[in-house]
Amino acid sequence: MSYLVLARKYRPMFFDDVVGQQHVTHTLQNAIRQNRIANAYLFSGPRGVGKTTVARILAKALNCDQGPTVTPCNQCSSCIEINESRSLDVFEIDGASNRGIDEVRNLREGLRYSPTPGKYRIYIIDEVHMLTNEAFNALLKTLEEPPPQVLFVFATTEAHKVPATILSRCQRFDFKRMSVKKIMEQLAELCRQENIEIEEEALRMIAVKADGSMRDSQSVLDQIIAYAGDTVSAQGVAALLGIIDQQLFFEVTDLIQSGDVLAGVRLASRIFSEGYDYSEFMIGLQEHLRNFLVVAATGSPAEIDASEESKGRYLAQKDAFSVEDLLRLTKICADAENLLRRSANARLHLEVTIVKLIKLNRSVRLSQLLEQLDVKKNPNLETGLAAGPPPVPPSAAVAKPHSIAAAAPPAPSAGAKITLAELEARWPEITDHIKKTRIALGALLSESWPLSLADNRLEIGFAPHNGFSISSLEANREQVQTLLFDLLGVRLQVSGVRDAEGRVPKNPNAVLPSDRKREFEKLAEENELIKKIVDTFDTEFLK
Amino acid sequence: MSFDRIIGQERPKKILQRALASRHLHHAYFFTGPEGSGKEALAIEFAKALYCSSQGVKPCDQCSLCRRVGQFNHPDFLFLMPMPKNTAVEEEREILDSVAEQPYSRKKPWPNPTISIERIRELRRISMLKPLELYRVIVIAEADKMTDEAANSLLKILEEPPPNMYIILTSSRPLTLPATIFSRCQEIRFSPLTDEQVSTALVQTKGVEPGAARLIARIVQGNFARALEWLEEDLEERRESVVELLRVCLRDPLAQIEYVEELQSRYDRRLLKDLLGLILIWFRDVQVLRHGHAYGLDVREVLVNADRMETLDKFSRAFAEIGFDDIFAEVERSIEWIDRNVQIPLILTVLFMRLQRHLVLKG
Repeated sequence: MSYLVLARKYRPMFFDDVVGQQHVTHTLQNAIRQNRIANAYLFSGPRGVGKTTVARILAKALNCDQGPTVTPCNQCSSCIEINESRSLDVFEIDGASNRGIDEVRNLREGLRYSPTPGKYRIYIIDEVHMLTNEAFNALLKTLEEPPPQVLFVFATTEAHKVPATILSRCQRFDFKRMSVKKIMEQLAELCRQENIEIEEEALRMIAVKADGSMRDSQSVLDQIIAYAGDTVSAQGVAALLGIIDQQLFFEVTDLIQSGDVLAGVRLASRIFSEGYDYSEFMIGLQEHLRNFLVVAATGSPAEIDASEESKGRYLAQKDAFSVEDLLRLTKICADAENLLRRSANARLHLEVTIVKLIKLNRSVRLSQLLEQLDVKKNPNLETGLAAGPPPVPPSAAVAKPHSIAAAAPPAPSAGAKITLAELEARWPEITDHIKKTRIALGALLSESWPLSLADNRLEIGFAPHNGFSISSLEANREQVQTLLFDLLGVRLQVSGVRDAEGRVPKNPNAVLPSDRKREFEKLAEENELIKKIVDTFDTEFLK
Repeated sequence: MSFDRIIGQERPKKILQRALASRHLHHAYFFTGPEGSGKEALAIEFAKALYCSSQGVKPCDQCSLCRRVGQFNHPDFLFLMPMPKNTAVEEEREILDSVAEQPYSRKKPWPNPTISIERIRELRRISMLKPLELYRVIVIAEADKMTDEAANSLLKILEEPPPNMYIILTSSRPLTLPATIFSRCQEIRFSPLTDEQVSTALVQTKGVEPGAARLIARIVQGNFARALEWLEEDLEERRESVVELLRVCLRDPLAQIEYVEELQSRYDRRLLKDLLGLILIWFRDVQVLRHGHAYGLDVREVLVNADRMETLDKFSRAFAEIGFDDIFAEVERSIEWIDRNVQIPLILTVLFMRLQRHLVLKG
């Protein structure tokens, strides 16, 4: 004979056996007592929490020989027939397979007959969200005003896929996820009945793995019993579920601290040979980093879900990472997890991710940076950022080939200087360069010229009528300074002034209005016609 | 084949054998794990063991039941796998035969194979009949390829199948299926194979020379199906192409376009995917090598392309900067685009452009 799995064997038979859904079962029991049965119910909620079970109990309670009663006897012919799903009055329909309008029409045909021998004709439609739109609409009229003694019970995990017109015609019950504690209690009870010895920790692992679903937990328990026999240890569960040893995660964070990439590659190959699931590993690593985060933020391991030994380790290492670093590490892991699921090259990506985590530069804390600034009274913020070495790890900090400081092209230092003459000579080149990235700013600067330079303070001259340009320059001062810094490697304090002398800018491309005026006057003197026009119309040079 | 001939996977084997021994069999199993780890192979063996007249925990492979199940000729044994719409019966039979012969590297139906709701309805109809022998076993391979409707219509029967019916689902992407499917099955997780297991299996079953076997094992990353595919192909030529492709990356657009055309004439989509996979491995090696240089370590043992040390070294030294993160992301994206049927020339041209940007030459 075939073996019946626990989830089916222990399917509750009474309202009171249903775990964790009192808000549903009480309401239904009261409705039965007061004879206020609605004509349509909708049960929604996550998988494996008891929707179909409650629907069946409800059917038995209504059609029981003693009924309607809140405690179906499970002994009369009606109850037995329903339990064996061969009752003539209770139809359990698989909504996902019978989802078309034709099926609904057939169903409506059957509504005309009165229930025999029971009291109610009950239609349980499971997975109702899979009905087609037409099928739903064909149900509407029936659902609103069904013949007396007809009851619909819909069960679904995805109530949002059910049209609003259906929802409004049903009494809706939302089933809750089960808490870890509830599942543990129920499993412990079940093990007692099955004569199985099981460790508390093993029960916890199973309950956590089930993620709020009773059926999932029973499936896992089933598997474990088949595997381990009558005594179940926490170790056995861990091995069976492929739960990753916490030690491995600590090794990763240790490596991040020491910055040893080669050891990271070796660790990755160990993960491969242990046969762990890669994305599972990433999820575990994120959990691990999150634990660090909690300990770093709260200063105590009380809030994390881990063994006492691990808690001690978290506490001991709570200063190893800053909160910012932990968040960045977690982000990398989260991105990688996604990739690991999709890619055919998962192994390579896991390895690369571990290397990436290890090589990640520590972020410099803003407060530390400000302190440094205060001490040095250094006006060059950029210099401070680049030169201030990441505080950790000591051995690797200097040699890191990809460090930003080494990559920045002109090494900025206090000694770097530039003269006014040099600046004047390079000004056209500079403005052209700026034009490439910031057209407006470049155009603005091309009508200006460097005026004076002392103590790294640069005055930029503009023609007197260009007051507007000066204010735009002031508004964009930071940017101009940064651009100049990028080009020259010197941090200059820039300010714009009106240059009354109206000096000719060194930029040959830029033609000043005053130039053109002079040109025009010259032209007028030489050319008779133009001179005549000027005289006749009393013209004035504008542009 | 019997259980022994399935590579690795000690844990799943043990779980199933214990369940067989105690006859505490769950009515629905879900074999999950990466591609090429032997899920379908073990599912077939499990079915054989159930039917086998010796009634042990292993199929005997001698009796007529074992043989008939193994050749998919038993009326009580049903093997469903994704098929394109309107597949001819002969074609389907041919594909199924290839599974029976070599479950690791079966013929891949094309294009866009799915498991439709009609298939599941048919399955439901069959399940109402009494099996000829004691049991009925249904394997649904690559269950994630079920359409949404098909998956949902499987739910009821998956929860409470008729007595003596066993369903085994297999999938490498189980999370794309509704959680309701998952929760009705007992999950048995398959690990990716280790390099050791893949190379040993290649040496023992295919007579591959150990050095080559090790290299293939490193490249396929635990996927035995791909390892078998690589045996059919010219690995050295592919690796040569990697270097060639990277060289072209640094040349002018015209040369690149010419090369794209050449590549397209040489490789189809699947081969191109393999090639891009090799590029990923190449850059991984360069990254490790550069690290080794920076710290004066000998990293030879962890390199995949260890036999091309010189080329690797030259490549690594040629560049001032290599944006590894970006390169991995770009190549991976290109692989994804191949799967999504983007035009090949487009993918390659874009890839060349992007690679060029992330490779900064010295001087």
